[in-house]
Amino acid sequence: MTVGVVAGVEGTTVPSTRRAQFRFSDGETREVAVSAGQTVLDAAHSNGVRLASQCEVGNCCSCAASLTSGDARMPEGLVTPLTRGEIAAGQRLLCQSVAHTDVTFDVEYPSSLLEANPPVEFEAKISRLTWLADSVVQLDLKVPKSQRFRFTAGQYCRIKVPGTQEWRSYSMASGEHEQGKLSFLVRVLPTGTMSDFLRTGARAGVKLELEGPRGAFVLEPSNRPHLLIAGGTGLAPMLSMLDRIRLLRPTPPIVLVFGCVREADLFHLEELEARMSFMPSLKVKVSLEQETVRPGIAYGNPLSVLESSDVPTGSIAYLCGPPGMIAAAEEKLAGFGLVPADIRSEQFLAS
Amino acid sequence: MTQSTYSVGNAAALSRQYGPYIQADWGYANHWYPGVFSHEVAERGVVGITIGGHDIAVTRDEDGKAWAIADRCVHKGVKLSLKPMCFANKTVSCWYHGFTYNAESGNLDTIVGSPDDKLIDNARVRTYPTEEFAGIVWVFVGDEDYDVPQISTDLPIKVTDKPNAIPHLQDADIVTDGIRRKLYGNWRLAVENGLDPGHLLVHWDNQIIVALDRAMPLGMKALRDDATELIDIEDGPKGVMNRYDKPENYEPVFINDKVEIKARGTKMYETFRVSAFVPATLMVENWPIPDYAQYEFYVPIDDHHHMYWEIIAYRGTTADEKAEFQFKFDNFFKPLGLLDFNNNDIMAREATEEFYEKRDGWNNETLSDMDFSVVAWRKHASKFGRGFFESPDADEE
Repeated sequence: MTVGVVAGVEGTTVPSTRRAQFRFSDGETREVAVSAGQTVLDAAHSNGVRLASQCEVGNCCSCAASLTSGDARMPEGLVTPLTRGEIAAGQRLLCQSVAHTDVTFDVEYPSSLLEANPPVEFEAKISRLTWLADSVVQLDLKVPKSQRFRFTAGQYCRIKVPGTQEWRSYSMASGEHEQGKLSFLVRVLPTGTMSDFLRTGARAGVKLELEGPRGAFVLEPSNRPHLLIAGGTGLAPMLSMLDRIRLLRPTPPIVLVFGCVREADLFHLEELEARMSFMPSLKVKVSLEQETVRPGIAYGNPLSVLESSDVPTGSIAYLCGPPGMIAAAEEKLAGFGLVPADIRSEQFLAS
Repeated sequence: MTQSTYSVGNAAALSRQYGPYIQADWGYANHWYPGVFSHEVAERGVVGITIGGHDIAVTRDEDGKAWAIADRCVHKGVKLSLKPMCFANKTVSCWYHGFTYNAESGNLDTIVGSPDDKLIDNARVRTYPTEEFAGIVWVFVGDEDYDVPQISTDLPIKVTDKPNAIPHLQDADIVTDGIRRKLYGNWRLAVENGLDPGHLLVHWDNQIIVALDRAMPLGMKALRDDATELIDIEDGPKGVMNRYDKPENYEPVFINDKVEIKARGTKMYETFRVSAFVPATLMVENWPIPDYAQYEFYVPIDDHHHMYWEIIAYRGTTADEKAEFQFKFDNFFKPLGLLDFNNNDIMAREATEEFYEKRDGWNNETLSDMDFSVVAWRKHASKFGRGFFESPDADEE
């Protein structure tokens, strides 16, 4: 399974939205939707993409970047530290720039610089391997205390499959503050190097190589109503986010819609039950694409069970699942009145 | 990991229902905790404490106001409290190189031997909000930018449903005295020991019980779901209360035929209702004797130590009432209650720590009927922690 990052994907119903792409010096790129009237910097920040900035009124030049494609303009007559020549060469202050087309900027620092926790390489031992369902394994790792590792809920790590040169990406299911414990949910496929390892070589005590945290699909703590939509092991980042949201006061209302395909793949129902017991503002909907006699499970997919009452005005949505689910969710959420900037998503692909 | 063979009502499946509580091994952050007794910190004095890994220096200015700042000089990291030095009002100077901090803002106001240093006004130690009442300086410990809640949200409720007025810590006429000591053992084991309706056996032969001829059962069997009442007051205290005062809730056990022991004591006293509150507080009403209350705080220091606070509270206004309280405290409550009686609880907590620390007791304990109340506390406390303390140590294995 690999994770591809798409933050704030453009909705089909808001044609005035442009896309802005940022290319960092480390080769990483981030892409965000820019709504009409929004500056490029605002769009980046409201989508969780961290960019350098300081004064944000066009004086300090901290947010300068080079426009390499598209049309981005600063207000006519604005006096900035940029010279006419620099502007002609493509320099822009992102805090003042409005995108008139899709745009691409080169940013002269690595993406990790401002992402609170730059990625590190480290080793961690498997502390527990739990088969949650036919095709789902929970992998718990113990990180040595001497290893400084911090992440923001929603991010992922790359894990090297032992005995190979293959790396796979998995979102943390554990909370930001679990002190040396990392949990991942892995979808086990009939074939695949990680799946083979989990079936045969993985056991408590085995050391894994990791690299991370990565990813701009991160929780931005707020008191707005939260909608979390997860397909299968896409539940992992949602669990981590719930751990963070739970500490907000007042705790915002949260609807978590969790869908699985087959009954044999269904997992974590007890975990979600427990979460509701200590998070009174959490409501969970579970869907299954197979008919089942099990109580409390809706027939359908996460979107077919989603109702407008789950998306009160002012909601912010976080989606994680396969590409089809995400595309469909974005369309449905746009129909419920959510603007692209309020839809954060991360898709995963089987590999 | 060894698994108990008897697994009814047990372990890992249950523990997920209070996951946040299990996670809180260093304690809940962003709460008010008692820091020091008022009498411990004189004007221009400095007392060092540690709460949830935060080293804090408490000082007092010439107006009598208590302040709390990080007990860690920015220069070489020594504790300011190691050798208190307050040369100017409302400042704390480091005893080592004279870095002098403003007690209110934490600002580096000057350096004794280097008054032109560029660092001055450009460095600071963090500060902690304080309050002072009931003979205690309270400190709000957690994130520096946290929106500080009212301290009443972190104290026990004011008891109003009984004819005799149980003294509350925020009462204007409160009279208190107590002791605090650093103990081995996780803070949660301490709260649970205090709340536990099943642990009366450790007190069976305690001096205070024998001396008062106080009727005390061997155990209390909960009969109803609401024997432990959940307290969730909006913008107020969160906790659980063992409703020993309702006869329909509990069946006291006075005799067990299978062992040769029966309850002692013949005198019935006002019920000593016991309740636990977030973050880590116990209230025992009508204890050690009616009209008094015992408050206990199990303030986390790190994941294996807590500061054990034992406070006796009474309501009194006149000098005679206060003197009488002090006499009883010195000659009765402290030696028989806080020391002899509670020392048995301390032994129990220290004995429990080993299993929970080294053998993952949270997932390997075997809970029984009597743990109903403790489980209710764990679940309820899981809802209300505002954050988690974490080890401040960079490299520790």
